[in-house]
Amino acid sequence: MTHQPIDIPQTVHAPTARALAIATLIALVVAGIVLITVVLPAEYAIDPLGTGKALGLSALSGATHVEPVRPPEGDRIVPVVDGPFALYPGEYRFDSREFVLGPYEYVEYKYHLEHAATMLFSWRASGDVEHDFHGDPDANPKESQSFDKQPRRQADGSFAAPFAGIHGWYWENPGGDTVRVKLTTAGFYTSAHQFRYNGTRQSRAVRALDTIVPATDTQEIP
Amino acid sequence: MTTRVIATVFLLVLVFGTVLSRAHDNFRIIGTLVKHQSSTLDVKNAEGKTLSIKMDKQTAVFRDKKKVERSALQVGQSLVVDAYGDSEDDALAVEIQIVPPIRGR
Repeated sequence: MTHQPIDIPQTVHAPTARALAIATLIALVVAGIVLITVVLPAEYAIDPLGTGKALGLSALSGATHVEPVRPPEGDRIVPVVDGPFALYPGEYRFDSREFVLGPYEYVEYKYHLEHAATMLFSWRASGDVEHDFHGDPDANPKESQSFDKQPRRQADGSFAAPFAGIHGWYWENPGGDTVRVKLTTAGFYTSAHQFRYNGTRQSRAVRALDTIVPATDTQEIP
Repeated sequence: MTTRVIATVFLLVLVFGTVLSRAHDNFRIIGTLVKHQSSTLDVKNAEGKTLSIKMDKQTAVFRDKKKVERSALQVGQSLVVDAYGDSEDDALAVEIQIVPPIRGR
């Protein structure tokens, strides 16, 4: 093995004061441009040149930040739809939750559904709630789409996801008394996600069909 | 050499710019106003933790869904503060609602 001689310079010249001054000046100019065009629109909603709107940064400054929620890797249940009939590459799952909302608290509870995947649901609230059934697309979580905001204390229904993403409910307790919301669902979702008023986010396990204990044919179901 | 210095500074500016422009989370802080200054208010929540929340010119104060002056804020009032920031301890109030006394959960 032979080594090639390396040409090592004997002296290293420090940058001149002029070069440093030029570099500093350029850095300040660049920093100023980034500050005005990116940081101020994104951080403080100050957008003097309109770059925040053009680059989509203005949304970051508001209270609209939503992290995309992806299904577990390799766990997508995409339906093959043939008219009124659809087949899925996996079983449906189910879930049942009770949310306790103290005065003025809110919670969002959403399931990840692929495009055209379906879900059945029933929910009941013990008092008045503000509610919004909506979805956040995987492709652009900030483009939330509302499907039902009618005032109601309960709902029973079905839902076919118009796009892949997380879909579910926002419930807010608008008053000073504690409200309980009970939710039961079944559908071709892969995961559940809870977002509470205090900024906490939790992924919740959904139940597989084999957790249901079937009744035998001699048992009466009460 | 000058090129390298410029490139390094440019990269640092980009990195810091990216970090500074990170997104925020939303928070709702519910509790009792314990201290009020021109640009901050301290709210004690149901868990007994006092949170200091910043206010700016855009922070709006409401009572009975009507906008009121910031001077309407009084120590001892129950508040619902919608804010955003990096955490509950570092949040900027967007909207403050003065609500009837909260009896607790």
